[in-house]
Amino acid sequence: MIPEVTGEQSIVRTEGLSKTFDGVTAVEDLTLDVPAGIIFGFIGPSGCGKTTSVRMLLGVYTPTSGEVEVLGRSPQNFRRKEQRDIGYMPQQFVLYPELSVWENLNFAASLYGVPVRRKERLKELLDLVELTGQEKKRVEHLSGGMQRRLSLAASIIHDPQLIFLDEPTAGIDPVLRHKFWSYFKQLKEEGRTLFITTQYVGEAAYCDQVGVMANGRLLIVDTPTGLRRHVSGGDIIHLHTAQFMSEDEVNKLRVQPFVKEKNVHRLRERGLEIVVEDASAALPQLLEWCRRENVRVESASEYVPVFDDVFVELIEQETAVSEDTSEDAND
Amino acid sequence: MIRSVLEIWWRAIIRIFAFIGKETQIILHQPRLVFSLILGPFLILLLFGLGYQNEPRTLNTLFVVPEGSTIGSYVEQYANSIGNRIEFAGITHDPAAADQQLRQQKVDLVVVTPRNPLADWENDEQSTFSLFHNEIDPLEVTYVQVIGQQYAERLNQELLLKAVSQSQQETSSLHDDIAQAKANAAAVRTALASGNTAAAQNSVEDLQRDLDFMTLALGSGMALMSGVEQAGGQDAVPNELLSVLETLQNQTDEMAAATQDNTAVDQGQTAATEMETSLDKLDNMLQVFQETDPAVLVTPFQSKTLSITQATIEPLHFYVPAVIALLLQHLAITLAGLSIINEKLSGAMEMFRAGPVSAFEMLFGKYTSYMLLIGVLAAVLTGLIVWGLRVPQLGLWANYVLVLLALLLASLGIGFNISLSARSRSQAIQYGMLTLLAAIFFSGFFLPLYRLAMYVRIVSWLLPATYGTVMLKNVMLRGQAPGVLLLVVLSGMALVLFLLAWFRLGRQLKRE
Repeated sequence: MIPEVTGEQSIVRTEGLSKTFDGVTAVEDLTLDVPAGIIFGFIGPSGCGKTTSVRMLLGVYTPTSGEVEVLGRSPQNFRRKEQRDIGYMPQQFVLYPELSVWENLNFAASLYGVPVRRKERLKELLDLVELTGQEKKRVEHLSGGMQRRLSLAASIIHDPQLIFLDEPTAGIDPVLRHKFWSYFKQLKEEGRTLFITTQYVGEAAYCDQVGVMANGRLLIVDTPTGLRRHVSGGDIIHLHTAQFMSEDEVNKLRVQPFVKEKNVHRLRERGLEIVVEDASAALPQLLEWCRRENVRVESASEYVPVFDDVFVELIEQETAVSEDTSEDAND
Repeated sequence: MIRSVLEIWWRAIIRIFAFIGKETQIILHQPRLVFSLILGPFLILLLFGLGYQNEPRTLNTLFVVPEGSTIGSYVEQYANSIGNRIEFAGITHDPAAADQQLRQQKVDLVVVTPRNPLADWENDEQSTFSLFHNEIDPLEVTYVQVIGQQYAERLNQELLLKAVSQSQQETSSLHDDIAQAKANAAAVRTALASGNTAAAQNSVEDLQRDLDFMTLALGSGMALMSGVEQAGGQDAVPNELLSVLETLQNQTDEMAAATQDNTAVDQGQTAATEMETSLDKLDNMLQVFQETDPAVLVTPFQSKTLSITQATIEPLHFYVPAVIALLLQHLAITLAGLSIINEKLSGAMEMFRAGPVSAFEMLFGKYTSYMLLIGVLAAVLTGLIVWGLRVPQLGLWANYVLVLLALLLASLGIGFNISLSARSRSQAIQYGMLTLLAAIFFSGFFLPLYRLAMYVRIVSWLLPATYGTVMLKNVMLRGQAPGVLLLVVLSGMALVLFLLAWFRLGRQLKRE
């Protein structure tokens, strides 16, 4: 079984990692610290440098500059042991269409030197990815979703500690995507570390930590909650009142101690968006303030922004910062 | 420590078997492919064996005989005399019509006969038959040239046969002349003994006339006979006829001298007695000349070809070793040529780079699987050829297997190097087809290697099929062991190609 790993121990660590192809920078100054035993989501639009980063972490690409350490060793100096401790599911399907499900899985097992008595292990994995009963079916006759599940099984056949999954959910339907994340959660619970790239921003919610990438640069690394808070500046409460609140009343609300940095914005009709430090603590204080000020409340609840919005906001912020930086440089 | 080393080795073996199993399964999952790989070449060879006609081509020939030609009446007879290689299509006096027929490919050959051969010979010139053809295949042109030469030789032969036969007939009356000469010699002897010089002188004069006539009549025929004997190695008695005629002349001279000088009477009598013996000898020589077959005199030599091989080699048999070599080379190059490029294009190479697979394990596994697969195909194909088509396999099976092993290893080496160079499947297939084309022309498949210039033969000896063809012909059809040098060079080529592929694959598996 997988050796015990503590959540604090770094399993992937990079410092100022960059990769340039023929003068074009694919990844710039990537600094990461991924603790063992978590699901790390690497999110960003297509072509932002996620796959290049993963390939550097696997040792497939040599970094142009910077340092990288995976499983305590530079990927350039990986021994067979480290290579066996890593599982990799590439973005495209690389198994053999002419072979059956069982033969493909068996080949992957042999490739990693899994002992010959592996029948039970293969069955177990087919169960996990719900391909039991399809063993003899040729892969070319499988659906796209089944092929992705088989790829996943092949990447973990040798019981690796650290699993890199490059866009495992790309191009598959939402039901199957949900199922995949269930597998990932199960693998994490078994003690593995998962490094997952995705362009579906909403999938960040399933991760323990998320790194957001754009244009070859890592914008932020945080927990999903932390990301939201980072974008909005804190928790958000949406308040809807029975009557329109006057500007004086709104200004009074702005200066209340539970409101963060006077951050109150009007929504459509009789709604307000209030940024607070901690929504669960601030909500009773807000309702009490409304009672005192005779503001009739129709509804008041914490608002959790969707990750798409968070992501867009993050990209916009990054673009603004970049533009400022370049303007400063020009001045 | 030992356990850990053993584990490393064990895992390496498992990885090698991963590739052996995978490649084998991929091929076996395509039964139609396997079936066609075995049955295809066999059926082609079978059809070739059944359909190949080992008969010389018959040329439909039109003869152009100029108006007033003296040999027109002999043309058809001569045409038929060289067997079925010329089919007599008729005689025309119009060269333009014959030319048109030749251009329209209604006839294969037009033979224009000389107008007056006798006049040519009288002018001390050879008389020429001109052969016109419309062939474009160099081999067919050569065939027509050979037929032309045979035709001319046959004509010359026919003329000589007639001359000799005529000479034999003409000399049949010479026996009487020889008997008359003997009687005259006896008369000289008797006259000299009785001292009748005048009678002896008359008989000597008769004898001289006889001798002059015989010399004239025997000259050409007996000279031919003498020439044949000399060509047969009887240099010790050059021209026996001349010697006999010279002796006869000397004996006549001695008898003539005895009629003039009384002191030489005894010598004259002895000469007369010896002349009778010489005339008997001449008579015997004449007898032999007349009884000899004219064909022996005109064509005293013939050839007889005997093979020291233990079996009769049919045209199909001759081509089979080359077909096996060519087929196995192409199969190995195609399979190996597509193998690594497929892994590269599918993205599997990225998985191998990230995984614990070495270039050696991958290459060794692929070599082994293809050797096994093509080996089985070769065994089945060989079985069908040897026991199905009855193609002789005179040599040791171990030698046969040895040649195939070296051939396959070298061919796989070429294939893997092609695969490592190619950037797409179509490029790999194209390289494979180019190698096949080169092998068809330069490996001795249908053109013997000696027909190629030395610098082109370098290309030949870069192709495993060349070695395979030469060695398989020796093993299968001559029952000999393969040439050690050829086997060593082919094996060396296989080793170098393997090392090169290993090095190149190692580089491609390294980090970018």
